[in-house]
Amino acid sequence: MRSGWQTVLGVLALFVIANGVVTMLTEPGPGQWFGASTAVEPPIDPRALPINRIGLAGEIEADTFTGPSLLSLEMRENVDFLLTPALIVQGAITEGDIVTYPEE
Amino acid sequence: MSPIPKSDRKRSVQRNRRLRMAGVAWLAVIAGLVAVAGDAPPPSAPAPWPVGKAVGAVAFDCVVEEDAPLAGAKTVMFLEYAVSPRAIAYSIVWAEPCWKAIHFPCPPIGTSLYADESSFVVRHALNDVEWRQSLPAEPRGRFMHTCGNYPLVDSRIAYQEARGRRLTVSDVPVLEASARSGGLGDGRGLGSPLPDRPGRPPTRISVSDVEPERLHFYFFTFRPDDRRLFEYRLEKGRLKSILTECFGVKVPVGGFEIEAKTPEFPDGVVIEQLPARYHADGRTVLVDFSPQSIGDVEVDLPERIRVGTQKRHFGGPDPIRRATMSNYRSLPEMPSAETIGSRFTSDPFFEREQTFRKLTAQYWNRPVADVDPADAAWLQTFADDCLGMARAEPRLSAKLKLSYMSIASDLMLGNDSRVDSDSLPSYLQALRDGGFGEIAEIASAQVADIRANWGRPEADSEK
Repeated sequence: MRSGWQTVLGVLALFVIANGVVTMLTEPGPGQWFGASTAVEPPIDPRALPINRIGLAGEIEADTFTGPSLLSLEMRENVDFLLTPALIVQGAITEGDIVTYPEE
Repeated sequence: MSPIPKSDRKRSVQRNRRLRMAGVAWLAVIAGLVAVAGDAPPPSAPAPWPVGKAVGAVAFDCVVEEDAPLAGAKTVMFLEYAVSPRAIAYSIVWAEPCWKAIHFPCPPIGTSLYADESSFVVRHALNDVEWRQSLPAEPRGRFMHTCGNYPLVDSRIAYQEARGRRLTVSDVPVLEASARSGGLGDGRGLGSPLPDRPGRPPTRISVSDVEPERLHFYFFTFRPDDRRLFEYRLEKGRLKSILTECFGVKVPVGGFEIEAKTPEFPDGVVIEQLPARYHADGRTVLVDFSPQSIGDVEVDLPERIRVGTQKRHFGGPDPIRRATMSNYRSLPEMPSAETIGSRFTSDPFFEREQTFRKLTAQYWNRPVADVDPADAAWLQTFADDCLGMARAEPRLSAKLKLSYMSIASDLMLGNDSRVDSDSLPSYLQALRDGGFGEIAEIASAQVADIRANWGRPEADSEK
């Protein structure tokens, strides 16, 4: 027959294991920080779109988004990045600001 | 010292492993006991949030390397920044590879930018043009692409958004409360809402770890899939690095709708662009900080920023963007919206540079015989002076600029032997010595192409 201490220790062990599993599932691991993101884009619910918009919108997407739009977005990202060094430094020399990374 | 026998090493490794595992198990049991016995949020020490220090205005130099894989362009830019708590400014003093069009919305060399709370000014001192906008600006809304370009003055919206998203000490109570709840927040959704502030989008924050040398939190803005994760590393209270990762970002693109009838939809159909999924492979950024003395105060300032993707890791040989800061110094007077760009026009060499540009526009890609004798004499003296100054110049950006002007002048004069034996090899070697070997290869190919096509009109159009 188990003693009370054995029962307590058993419960604690289960708690520790469960705690570890939850942490593993909820914390971003090194793989995520270093690029292996597991972020999943929420799927577009087709029922939310009028039925006659789905097909053509999907068809033109490839043509329009691989063209000038993406080139412009690429340019935007590079141009806006020039603000980044200044904005980080501004946080570091401004009393009351917490230094952080500005999303470009 | 004799090597440890393999059998002993194995036993030693096993013993160490058992000891480590036992240690980890005991730590886990103790942590579990504390958590169960307390039935309360984990205790939190005062969080070491890195707060800015008042040091006045600072100036620094920066080299920005950018890749545009879709456009097939690589660029390195040399900038000078001026920053105060109220304003920022930069000037692009040189850019490479400089022999054909540089991938930028306007000629980058000579471009200056100034931004404060109420104004956003872009000025091109060499071309004497200016774009001025007042802030706050309208939100960006739908992104209007301009055939691969992006007006530089539209950067004001990124500036405004970044200013709106910043954290201040007034946010600390929410951050601390979030940390005490283990990042779960107030029970009305994941994370805790940050206080409303002009320009800040509805934002929730979840602080999951606060340790003396590590802060770990993430933001949600707009939607849960817009989250950005942050991890700060500190050492003895000093900020060492910020690691941050964002995932796919949706940008509404386009701005047009087309009504059409098709056999499939005889009643008509509205063709509209769906929001593009941009940053589809995410962006992971590492910012390294180092202590810098500004006046009498030591402040942690960024020395390197590296931006990577899932495929092109920021720590690998070719992140998509890199910025390296140096030469931090106190700045007695912050430039104003009126004075930005004066670093170009007040340079004693400015008048000669402008004459060189005028003659380049006149004689580039033209036969040597077309060059007026007086202009040829001026160019010869200018090329000699630039070459001599480039040899003595310690700053890479100035050395590259002087080398460029010397080589270009010699090309217009037909001084091929000096280009081949002296100025071009020195210029390319300076690029390689600066760590820009790939840019040197591109520049070398561009010069070779220009020389091979010298005198042909189609080559002229690329300059």
